[in-house]
Amino acid sequence: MECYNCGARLSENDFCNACGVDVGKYKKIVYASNRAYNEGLERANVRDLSGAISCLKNCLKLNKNHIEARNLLGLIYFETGEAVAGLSEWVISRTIREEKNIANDFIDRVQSNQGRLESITTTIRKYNKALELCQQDSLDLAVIQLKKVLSMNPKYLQAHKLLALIYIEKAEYEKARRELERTLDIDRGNTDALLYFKEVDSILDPSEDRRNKGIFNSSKDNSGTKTYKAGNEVIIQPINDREPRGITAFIQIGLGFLIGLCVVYFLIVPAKVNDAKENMNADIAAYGETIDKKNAEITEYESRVSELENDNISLRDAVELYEGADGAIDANNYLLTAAYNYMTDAGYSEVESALDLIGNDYLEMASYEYNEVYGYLLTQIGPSVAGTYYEEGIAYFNQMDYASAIRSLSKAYMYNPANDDALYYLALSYYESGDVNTATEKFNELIAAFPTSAVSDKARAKIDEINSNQL
Amino acid sequence: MINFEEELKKFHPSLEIEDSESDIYNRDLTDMADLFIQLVKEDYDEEEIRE
Repeated sequence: MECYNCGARLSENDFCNACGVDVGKYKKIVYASNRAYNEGLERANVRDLSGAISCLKNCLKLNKNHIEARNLLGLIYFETGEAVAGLSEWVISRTIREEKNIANDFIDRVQSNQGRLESITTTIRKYNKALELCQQDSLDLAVIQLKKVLSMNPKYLQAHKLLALIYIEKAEYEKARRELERTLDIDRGNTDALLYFKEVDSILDPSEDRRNKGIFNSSKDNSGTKTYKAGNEVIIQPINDREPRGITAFIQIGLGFLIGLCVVYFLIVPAKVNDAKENMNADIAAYGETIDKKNAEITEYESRVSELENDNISLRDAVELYEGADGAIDANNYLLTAAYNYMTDAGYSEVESALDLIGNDYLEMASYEYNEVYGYLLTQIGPSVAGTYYEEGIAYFNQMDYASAIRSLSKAYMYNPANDDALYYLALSYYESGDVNTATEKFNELIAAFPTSAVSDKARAKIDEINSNQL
Repeated sequence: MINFEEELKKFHPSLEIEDSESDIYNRDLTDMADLFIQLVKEDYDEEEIRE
């Protein structure tokens, strides 16, 4: 602190050590200005810009040479969109103290950005134009201008406030509220904005009306309702209507939920269930048809399988008939072989061997021609072959090899049915081998075929012997 | 209750660049200290006149 009279540095005393003037009161004025500056700084720190401006102005009223206060005031003006006012303060500050003054930096920064400077100038001009339009009652045009201003400088405090006021006048309270919120974001302590906000809040939230005096009713209707605009909608609200709060709201919500559940249960669910049932029945019917169809196919296939099996059996039997032990194919081959051997004079034994392979069962079912050929060959070779087999059979009989004797003598008789001796010895071979019944049969056959033959008498005697033995 | 007209009166045009020079020149920068000094000087002058 310097003496106002001589400029000397002041001490703690209430007088100047250099010139002796009384500086007590002067010091108090300076101290008061410093206190105002400190308070302004505190308010600026908490964004109470209006309060800060007031304190800083008081500080400068007490002490115009307070450089810090003036610089801070200029800064606050610049922040709130009053750029020219801010520049003015900085210029004055630089005039008071040119060196070591931050105002020089502020001014240089603003002047160096010409584009920004022009933008600031334009916004101020438009704002002034908007204010003029408001005074001329052209509120819509003013709104347009103000919106342009705020798009260029969103922190222009006065523009926000004016726009909010216009919205309040037009009963667009929601928009007014938004603008006021933005205003208070910039300057928390702005009393005008707080006053407007309080009014708008009381209109938008009527439950607060009971605590406040002077309820703002925008509607001229005396039926107890309020009419106001919210965006593009006009809202008509009863004054004394209170929204349910707390338990009441909860109960009402619960009731609504229950009613909804009942509607769903009694109206919607049965319809859905019926639809589901119909769909299921349709599916079941379709499946049933498919099953029936498949069953019919299965039955058909089963009958075809049965037919095919029967055909298979018949065919196998037929094949077996041709290929079996007494098969036609083999029998034909044997007869052909026998005929061939006979024609080529291969020897009676060869012919006999082939004929011997032909079974008697086949001969019974063979054709007439087949039997004729067989019989012819047999007669051609029979006597010769029969003689050979007879001699062979007698030899076996004498050797008591009755089984071999039976084979040979059977063939001997077969090839020469007139040989009664062969039949006799055949019967004897059966008798001697123990097959009495067959022996008896053969003896009877002999008697029947050769009743007057000598061996027939022997056969009769043998039969009597057998009968007596059996008795 | 907010009166639009009354509230509108509180709004003043902002300073434009062209107005800044005149604003600075016309600003009354007299502060309390200046008034105090003036009062002291007036008292001193009166004392000298009496003497």
